[in-house]
Order: sequence, then structure tokens, then C-alpha cells
Amino acid sequence: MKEVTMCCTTCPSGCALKVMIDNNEVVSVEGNNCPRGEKFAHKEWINPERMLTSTVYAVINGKELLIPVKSKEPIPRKIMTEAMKEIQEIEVNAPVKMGDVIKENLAGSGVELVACKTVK
Amino acid sequence: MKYDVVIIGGGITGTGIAHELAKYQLKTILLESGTDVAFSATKQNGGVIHPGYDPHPGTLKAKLNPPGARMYPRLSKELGFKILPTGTLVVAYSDQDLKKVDELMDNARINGVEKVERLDFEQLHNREPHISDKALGALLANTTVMVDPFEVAIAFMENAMQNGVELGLCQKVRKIEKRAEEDFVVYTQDRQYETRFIVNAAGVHADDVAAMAGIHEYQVEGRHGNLCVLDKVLPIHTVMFPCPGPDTKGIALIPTVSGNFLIGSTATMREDKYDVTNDAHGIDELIKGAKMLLPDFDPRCIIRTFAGQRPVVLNNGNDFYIRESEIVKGFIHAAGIQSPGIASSPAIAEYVRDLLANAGLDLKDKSDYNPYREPIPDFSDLSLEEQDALIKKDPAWGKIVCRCETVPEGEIIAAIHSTLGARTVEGVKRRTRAGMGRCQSGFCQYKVMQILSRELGIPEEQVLFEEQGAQVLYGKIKG
Amino acid sequence: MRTLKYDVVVIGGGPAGLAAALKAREKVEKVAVLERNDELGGILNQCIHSGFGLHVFKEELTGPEYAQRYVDMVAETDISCYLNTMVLDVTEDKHVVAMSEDGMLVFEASSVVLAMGCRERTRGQIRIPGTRPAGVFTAGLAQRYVNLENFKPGSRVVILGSGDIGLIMARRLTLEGIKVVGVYELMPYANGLYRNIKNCLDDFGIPLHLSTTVTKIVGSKRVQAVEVSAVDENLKPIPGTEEIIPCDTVLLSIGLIPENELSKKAGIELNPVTNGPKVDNALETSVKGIFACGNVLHVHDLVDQVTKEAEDAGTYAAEYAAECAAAQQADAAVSTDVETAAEACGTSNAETEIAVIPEGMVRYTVPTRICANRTPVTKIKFRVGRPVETAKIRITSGDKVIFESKKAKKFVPSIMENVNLTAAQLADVQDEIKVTLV
Repeated sequence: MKEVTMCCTTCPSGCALKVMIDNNEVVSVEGNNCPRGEKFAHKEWINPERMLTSTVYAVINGKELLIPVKSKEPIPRKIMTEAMKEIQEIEVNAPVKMGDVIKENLAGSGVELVACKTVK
Repeated sequence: MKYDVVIIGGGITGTGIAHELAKYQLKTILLESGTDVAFSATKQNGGVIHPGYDPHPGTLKAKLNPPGARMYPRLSKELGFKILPTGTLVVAYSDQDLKKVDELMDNARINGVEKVERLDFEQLHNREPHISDKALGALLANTTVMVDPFEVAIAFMENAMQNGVELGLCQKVRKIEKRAEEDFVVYTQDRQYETRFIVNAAGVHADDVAAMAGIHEYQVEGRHGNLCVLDKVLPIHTVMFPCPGPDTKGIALIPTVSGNFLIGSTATMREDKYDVTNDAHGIDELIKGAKMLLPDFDPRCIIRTFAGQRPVVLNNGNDFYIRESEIVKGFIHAAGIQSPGIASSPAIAEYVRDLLANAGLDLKDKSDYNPYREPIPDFSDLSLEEQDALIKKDPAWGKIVCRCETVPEGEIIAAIHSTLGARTVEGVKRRTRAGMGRCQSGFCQYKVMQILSRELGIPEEQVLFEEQGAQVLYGKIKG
Repeated sequence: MRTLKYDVVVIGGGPAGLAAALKAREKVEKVAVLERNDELGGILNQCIHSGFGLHVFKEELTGPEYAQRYVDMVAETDISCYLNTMVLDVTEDKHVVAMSEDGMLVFEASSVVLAMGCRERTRGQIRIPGTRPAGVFTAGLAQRYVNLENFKPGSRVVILGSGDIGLIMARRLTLEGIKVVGVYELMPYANGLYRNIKNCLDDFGIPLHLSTTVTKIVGSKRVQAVEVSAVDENLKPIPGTEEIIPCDTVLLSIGLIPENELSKKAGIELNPVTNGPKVDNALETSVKGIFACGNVLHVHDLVDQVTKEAEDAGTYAAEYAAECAAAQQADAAVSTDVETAAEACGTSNAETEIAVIPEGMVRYTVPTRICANRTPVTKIKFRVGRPVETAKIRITSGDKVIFESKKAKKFVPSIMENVNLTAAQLADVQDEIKVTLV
């Protein structure tokens, strides 16, 4: 049994978590102000996940611009680089609405990449 | 294709001479190593047009400063640059200082400077109520005006260009060859210029340029100075100096034509005369100097610090060095133009003109010479009605770029397309003040970049910040 | 020159301005938003990271999404939005002068909401010595280049300041293949949220150097390096600790300042600590009928707080405008003097004013004064001057404690604190209340 301290990054509050690990498994979490902290600790120990936000290149109505995008759910931290490579290749040519799926199954994560802005 | 005169150096001295020579039937070119005129000591200057009470009688400075300063009000009207009459106070804190004030009064009289008076404690404190209680009295020189030195240099050069003088930017002189009497070849990195006469106005580089022509008459060193730009908040109206030291005028508080204030400047000789690094110690000294004059001075109003090098010719009694070379005829030095160089420059230009005439240059008046230059409109200075009219003519004048200094897109486009147009982000700043305000271009630089890219027809990643080879950006992120 | 009349004119179309306008429109007919840029949403448009909206929308959004939701809400109303419209002057009689591509515009308003936001502190303000080459950017300008303009500001970056924008830019640049050498922080503690240090620096192995600052910028044309030095407890560089860090770009994330040049023109009294206007509990400035909210009032940590504050400002500004209209109507029979009508507006009354005074570790408060009964709840916001390990908030009136928090907790300058006081708690207060930590 060992104790690990973590900072929960689910929300800006940043609760300091005291996580007990036994046999490489999380057995208890303390210090979280909400249930999301417990969920976070489990994931963080096994396979940390992060939201990925970036931009994609777009030419809409002849105008070059960037459209902000995000992974709809957090994706494993270890596939960030791969996901960024995929995002780099994308070009959008039609008007988009906030929430439109720009790419499905980002870097094999099963998570969608969605637009964060409406550009007509 | 031979030139009559090649002027080397586009600071206030070189551009002033170009402006003067433009009046005559001559083929003249000014070569500047930077991407713009006013690229070195001129842009690093406080812009006080000293009336001339300071130089020691009998020096070249004493001869050229008062007449040069007197020309500014007329030049401002002709060339469309701004001046702000402020007067100068030289403040005394001790009996010894008061004696120094008397000495300066004598200097002023001998140098022919008018409207200089002595203020007692009460008169001084009535004029500037926020000045330190320790200030006992002062010399007041009423005729001091303020200018933006780079605005003046740009105005000189534009007017010269409109009257036929050529300008070569990014032309660093590498070699000078004298082939015969009145027959020089000046080589830059990619061009060569044949000329009868050379005027060396290369500032801290003047000795290097002279050496290229085989002249080793003098050595130029730099007297380094730190300066601070302040937000538009000081409660003063007059340029304020303490009593001068042996080499410098001391640390002054200076109102500027744009409504900002300066603290300037420290003075130390540096080994490297090209080093314009500013230092924490120097800035502390400036703040101390400002607090000595204004005890309530709050350093939080500092929006920018910078430094410059005043070109000083060694073993020359701290004077200007302006003469025809004794070794190489036809080669005129306009060197060591330290303070009061800006104030003196119109008189230096006439003096150099006469040196050229004595050396054999024919000066025939140009019949179609136009002394007037139309400046680009300063939007922030116009009335609501004038602003409205400008926008109605061209909507670009209604599109804000720099919010701190109220500079619209139209003004920036005009600055890029003027006779001596802006080519860099800093060039736009010097002409329009976009980026010069309290946010220091944090909000407008990307807009200035877009406009420069569009108007110059180059990709944004090629737009220069200031110097050749120094782009602002490193290419695209995506696409 | 065109003149336009509105009940409420909101200056600024960022999160504060849009929230204020929406609330104002619930109470009055004619509301205008004046935005200097070519789109609404303000600086949120370039904050493409997530972390916004947890309080207001109960979900985590990116900056553009948060902005889009408000842009969409405003689009559903008849609020007039003037884009590319830069306000140059606000007068005490609430004439707002602006420039636009259609010419100069004069907006005559019954009340005005200031929502111009803030700007970044610059190199000059902290007086970093050295040369002045290309490659020195504020973090926000670099963010604009990367996220909106599609340009790389450099290839090898040093970041000065551990504020959230700096931390977020460290991650953003790294993700886009730009090397971030390190983040340097003058203070002995990080200024940004802990989660940003973890997610933006630790995840990418970017070092954070505390008690270290940039003491020189090196390079004649483009930045070639910075000199960094350790600082002592008085934040002064320690000679002998200088180290040269090669880089071509320096990002400055060294703090934000409310942008109050217009407020000064309008003759509004500013708080020297926040650099924002002094306001009462209805967020009204020292000039009647001019209200302030968001980062122009004081710099906030979260956009959600900005929204809530702006909603209050919008509501009170609209109430003021409605009272003006009512007073004008009542007066119309007797006199058409607008001045008299304006006099009758507002409920500020010097006699019932309570001063709010920060004490001890409390650096400032918003509001600085309370007009009793003007608002159902009086929201007091404050920050500490430096971290306090454990303490309780106490608010006193004379010898009497009118509020004390139940649990002791940790206080840090980067987190804004809130206390809500009820009318009952303020009932017996005379001249002033003091906010302190015990």
C-alpha cells in the first residue's frame, strides 16, 4: 500500500487528492470536493486523459482562417501527438456550426473532434 | 550617372543636409545602412530643441546651436512636423547651482540666445507647482520647443526626395575609393556610386567610414544614455533639467509633442559604441533623477525604456567635428554630432553646404524647389467634424488599429504609401504612433502586420520588425 | 456625424458587455453594444483552451464556445451591436463618441456600462533591461498570432511569468511543435491555477523556475538569448546567479491591467490598487449612470465571475435608465429640463453610504462603498496581497462582527474571494465596514 498525492484537474478548483494505491490499483481517494475527483484519480493512475483543444485550417467563402476545435471528451494523454498530427492535416471548406463534428475517432480514441465556433 | 554629393548616414544630420542640398541643382543621394532613416542616435534622442544657452562660447556648438534652434518654428510649418513650445528650466538646488545658472545666463547672452531669464523660488514654483521644494530657483529659457526627432528626419528626407534627392536604404558602405580629384566611388554591399563629393554623417560609424577613404583624423566613441518613456500623466509643462555636469546636461523630465513624457538621460562612455543595451542601474538612476525634480514621481507610469549612443569625437573638446578633410579633399566630415545635434541640425546643414561650396561645389538655385511637405493627417489630432469628413472620403480612416493612440487603418496606409514610406512594424510606429502607447503594440501589432503585408504585397511572415533579416513571425501554423 | 439614442449603451462586446446587454434588455427597450473589433466575444475568441463555463453553464467549455453561446443569445434579441466601432470619449452626461467606418457616431445614453476589459502589462512596465530586438511578445499577442492569425511567433521560446495565459501558451506552443525552454517566475510561488501547471507544464516536461526572472534581453536584430537571474526575498536579482538561455522569442505573462482610459476621460474616480473604477454595490461608478463590470473593474480569475458581475451591472444600469425615463415623463408636464430629470435618477444618497475598507492581508475590495437597500444582496469581492496559509474572513462594523466565515482556509492572490451580505447584516452599520482575515 502506498500513498500518492495528485491535483485533480477536472475543474479549476484543483482539489489536492490523497490517493491510496495497493497492488497498482486505486483503493481510496480523499480530499476531493466532488465525486468527479474519485473518477479522476482512477483514470489518472491508469491512463491519464486530457481534453485536447487546437485549431483546424479552413478556407470558407474564399477566406483563410482557423477554426477552434476540441476533443468532445478527454482523450488519453499518450495519443496527444498522434491526434495533433491528424489535426494538422485537416482542411475545412464549408461553413461550420459550433458542435459540428470535424473528425470522427480522433487518433483511434473513439472521440470526435468538434468545432467550437460558428463560421458562416 | 555621377553624383555631385553622396551623403553617408540618414540620421538628423544627413537628412538635414539632404534637405538643404535639395534646394540646388545637384544630383544628390543619401545612403543609409538601416531599413529607415533616423535609425540610430536620432531615434534614441529626447527631442529637446535646446535654444543654445548651454554650449561654451567659441565652440562650433555655440556657433550652430542658436541659429539651428531658431529655424525650427519655420521648418515645422514648411515641413509639417509637430513642435511643442515648452521652455526649459535649469533647476538649482544649491548656491553653487545658482552660480551655475548665472554662468548659463552669461553663456546665453554671449551665444545670442533670447528670452532667457532667471526665476526665483516663487516664480519657479508658480510655473511648476509640483517641482521639489528643494528647488531654489532656475534658469528659464522661453524659446525651447520639442520635436519628435524621427518625425523631423523623415520630414527632411521626404521633402528632399520630393525635390529630387535620392535615398538608398539598406545601403551599408563597405569601401570608398578615390580615383582622382572630385572622383570618388562609394561601394555598398550590392551597388556602387560615383560622386564628386562625400559628406560623412555616419554618426558613431563616422570614423569607420572616414577610414575607408584613408582618413584617420579622429576616433568616434559612444556616450551611452538610458531613457524612459512615460504615460501621459506628469503634471509638468516645461522641460526640466538639473544644473549640468561637465559632459552632460543631467537627467531631465521632458514633455513630448505626443503628450507623453521622457526621462533622459544617463551618460556613460561604453567600450562598445554600438551597444544600445539599457541597464537596470541606468534606469534606477533615471528614476532617482525624476524624483529629485518631482518628489511625487511614480515609476509605474513608465511604459518603455531604451538606450542610445551619442557619437563623440575624442580629443575634440566635446565639440562637433565638421570640416573638409585635410588629407582627402572633397570629403566633408559632419561627425561627433552629439547633443545639441537635433537643435543644431538645420544650421549644420547650411554650414556643410558652405563647406561644399568652398570645396568647389557650384550651388545654383533650383527654380522649381518646393519648400513645403504635406504630412499625413494625424487622426487623433483632428476635430470630430474633420475626422468624420476623412472617414466619409475613405472608410479605412474609421477603422481603428491602435486603440491607445487612436490610429486608424487609413493613417497607416498613408504612412506606407508616403514618399518615404514605412516598410517595417517600427517604421509604421514612428510615422503614426501605432504601437507606441501604453499597451506597446500588444493589441495592434497583428493588425499592422496584416496591413504591411497587404500594402507591400509580401507574405506576413516576411514583414520585418525593424532590422533587415529580423522578421516578426516564423511562418504558418497550419495550411 | 450621426447621433443615436439608447437607454443603455454598453462599451465592449466581450463576455462582460454581452452579459450586461442581455440583462439590461430584460428591463429596457433600447440597448446597444459597441465593439472595437470585427467580431463579438472579445478575448475569449483566442482562448481556445477549455475551462470556461463551469459555474454559468455547469459544463466545461472552450473560450470560443462560451463566447458563441452569448453571441447566439444576443442574436436572438433586438440589441444593436456595432462592430468595428471604437469609443473615443465618454462624457459625464453620458454621450458616447465613437469612430466607425460609417463616420463618427454620438450615442446619447441614459446609462452606460463600461466593459472594455483589460490589457497586458508590458516589458516597459517591469523595465527588463537589454536590447529591443524582434521576438518579444506579450503572451496574449502570441496567443492571437497562434490561434487566430495562424502564425508562429518563434521557434524557441522563453516565457516570463507563470500567469494562466503564460502557462496555457506554453502548452499551446508545444502542441504546435514550438520548443518552450522554460517558464520563469519572479515570485516564490506560481501565479496560475495549479491545474494549469500540471496540465500545461508537467504533462510536457516544461520546467517552471520560481524566484527567477529575466534580467536582460540579448540580440541586436532578433532575440538571441535571455539572461535570467535568481532573486532574493526582496525580489532583487542576486549577482552571480546570471545564466544565459538561448532562445529566439520571449513571451511575457506578467499581469493584466484594467483598461480605464475612457473612465478617466469621463471623470470617474479610480481605485489605485485595482486600476479600475471605484463602484458601489450596484456597480455604479463615481459618475452617476455610468456602471462598470468585468475586467475593466478589476481583473477576474474566471469568465463565469465576469458574467455574473456583468449581469448585475446590466440590471442596475437598466434600472437607472428606466428611472430616468420615468422621471423625465413625470417632469415633462412641468419642465423639459433633462438635467433635472437626471438629477432625480439613481438611488445613491451620500447620507446612507457605507465605506468598505480592506484591512490587513485584504488588498482591495469591490465595491468600495455600499448604498444601503440599493441591492437585495451586497456582493463583496476581494483578493489577498500574498498567500495566507489558513485564516477566516471577518467583516466588522466598529466593534461588531457582522460576518465571519465558518471554516478557516487557504488564501492566495490568484483567487478572488466572495462574501454576500444581506440587508439584515448591514442594517445597523453606520459609516464603514472593514474586511479582514483573522
